[in-house]
Amino acid sequence: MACLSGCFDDDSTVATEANRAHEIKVEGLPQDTSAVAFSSVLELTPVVEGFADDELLFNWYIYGGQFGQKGEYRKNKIWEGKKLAYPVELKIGKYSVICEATHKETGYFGLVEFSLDVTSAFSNGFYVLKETADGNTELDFYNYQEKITRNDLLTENYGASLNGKPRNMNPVYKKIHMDSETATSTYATGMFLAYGKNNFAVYNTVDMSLMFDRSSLFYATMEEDEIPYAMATTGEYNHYFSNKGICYESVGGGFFASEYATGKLVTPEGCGGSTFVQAFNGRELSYWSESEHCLMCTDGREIEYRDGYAGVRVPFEKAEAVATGWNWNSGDNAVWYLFDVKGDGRYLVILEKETISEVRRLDAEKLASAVVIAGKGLRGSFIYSVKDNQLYRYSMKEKVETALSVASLPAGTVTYMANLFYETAFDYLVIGVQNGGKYTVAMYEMQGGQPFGEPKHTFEGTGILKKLCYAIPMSDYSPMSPNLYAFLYDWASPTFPY
Amino acid sequence: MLLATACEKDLPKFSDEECMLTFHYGDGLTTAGVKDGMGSRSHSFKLNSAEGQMRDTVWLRVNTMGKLSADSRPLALMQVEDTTQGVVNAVAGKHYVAFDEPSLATLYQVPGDSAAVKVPVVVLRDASLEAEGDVVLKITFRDNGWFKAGYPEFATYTLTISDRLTKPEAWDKFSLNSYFGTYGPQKHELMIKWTEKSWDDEYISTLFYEYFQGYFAPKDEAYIAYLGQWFAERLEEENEERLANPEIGKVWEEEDGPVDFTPVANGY
Repeated sequence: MACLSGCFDDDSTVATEANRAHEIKVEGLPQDTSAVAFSSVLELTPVVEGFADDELLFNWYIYGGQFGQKGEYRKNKIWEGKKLAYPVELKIGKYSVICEATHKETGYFGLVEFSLDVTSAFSNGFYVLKETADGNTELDFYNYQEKITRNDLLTENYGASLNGKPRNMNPVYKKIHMDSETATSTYATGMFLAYGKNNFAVYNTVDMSLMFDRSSLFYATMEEDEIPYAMATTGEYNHYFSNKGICYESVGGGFFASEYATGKLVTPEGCGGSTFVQAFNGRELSYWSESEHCLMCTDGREIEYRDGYAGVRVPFEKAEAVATGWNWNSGDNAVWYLFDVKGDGRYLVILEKETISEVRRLDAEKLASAVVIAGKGLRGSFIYSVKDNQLYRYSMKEKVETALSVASLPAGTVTYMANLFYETAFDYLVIGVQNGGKYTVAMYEMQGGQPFGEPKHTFEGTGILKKLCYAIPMSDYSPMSPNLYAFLYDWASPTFPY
Repeated sequence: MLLATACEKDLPKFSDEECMLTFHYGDGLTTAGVKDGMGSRSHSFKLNSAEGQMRDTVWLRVNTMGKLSADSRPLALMQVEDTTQGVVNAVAGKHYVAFDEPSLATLYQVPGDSAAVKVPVVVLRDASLEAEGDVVLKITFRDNGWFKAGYPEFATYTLTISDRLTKPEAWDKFSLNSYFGTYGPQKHELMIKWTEKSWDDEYISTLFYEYFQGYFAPKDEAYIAYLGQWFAERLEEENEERLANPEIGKVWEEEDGPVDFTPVANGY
């Protein structure tokens, strides 16, 4: 029989009353910070109670993003000294910063870690598509966190605006492309611009460099008569729509991404598209085919009336698409399209569970003749319209229209409206007001399905406002499959609207 | 209270003197994992050898079972008849160099202290291959007193010898039917001619990567899809020219119908 026992003598000479090493607590720093690359200086001063400044040595380190993992953080010292004044000259991404306070006499240290979200001047904010006084296409950018507007980005970066009137703009998330410096595959949020008769460009929102245009998007040569209409992201794919058809690619990062992909696309096929693109089932998108005059799914199917449908039908062969939207309410998804039929009227087409579930002729409603229209994306089945500069809200469930008041709406003619949101970061009703050659944008938070209080953001620019889109960098798995889970789970809301 | 004791037990030492050989079908493969199509390949002189080259070598990986030896040990291959209906069996001296050819003896050896070796099968470009079609060489191990055949699941290797384009292993491995339609030798020849790429196992492998254990995807999905479109368009153009040419008057054809690049759903 063997007996195992152990005993230990407590001989703590490590943390003593003299060195108080156990008390080195670094405090006074935020948990999360953000900075704009090549524009910001990160200034922070920690607090370590109970120690004189000359007793401690302060070092600041960084990991993540363009650096390695935490285990190697000591390789990346960014600052020495208690007061951090670090010029953030980093690639955009998510980093972690470590502040380490070391007791000079004993060498023992305490540390604290916080996140640093680095964006670029153009990577997180609202892009404004506008038409210049001479009928060309230009972009403004509003950084809503800093409340700073940058005007005429294309002229600023390329010396001139794009030749031709603006036709459309869409964010393209995790767009694969080749890094021109390293000649390797990478991805970033792009901004697709359609302009002129049949031109387009996709700009990298990190640095406004040109990702793709007519000469480079396809492996084949783009046909002269191809008219690009739109690009859109859903789930793990980016889709492209033109008059020639549609095509798609996997988004960058994530499980399905290939580190070898160039971001070029195959030639589009199937039914031609249009600028009217909308959600469908999270994996695929719905769209209006201008060439075939029907509603299509990006998997190649025509969207049909549900089994047993006996209601009003739209004479699609004569219809023109007017607007489209997507309402989400705790797992209930309703996609809608508005069509005008000349000499007939306006139709509201509602898609649910991948079919046309209902069609309504709109007659008495202001929505029936409004030009400025927007849908409510989150938690509300409404369609907003503007008639004679008055805002109205049409309830899709109750089929009732209500006039709404808007606080401090800028003076001028309302020419643009959209419900823009991004996950839970914000949910704004964006109203664009035109005054001759100048526009003003007012962004309102929403409550109870209507604009609430004073505008959260207001900014101005020159030109004729056409559209706003929100851009933000996305990383490999964050978010996972944008807009897919809204169709799968009650608790998952859409990531962004189309 | 813990009671810990230790004891030793004498285990019998491995004493089986019998040594066996198996063909290597794949890394980490167990007998239960063997599927049809494993343990076989084809050698096409048209695809794999230079023009005018009349003999070539196919190397097969062989593993030993049993004790190692510090000295090299001879191994012996032998042909077994493939009785599958329609199969024409290869003839030694005509389609391949006989395994007991003295000049190859030094190559049919398991080196000392080795448990694996690559052995050659020297194939011959007989005129009958092009004129009459492929032949099959089914190989196993002859008991030569040093080694005998091991697990039956790994004891044979089937080599198809051809002088026409044969379907590369990579075609099925990477499901090229999904991109270019069902394989056909005429289609294969056109792909090689139009792109000036070899479209053999080696080239096809450069277009794909393993994204998960045993699962492959194109390195650039859009590029492969574009190739499929491009092949189809080129075929359409040439078919129009051929139909318009009274000396030809027909489209490109396989044995069983026109060449068609339409992708097959799910690769089948």
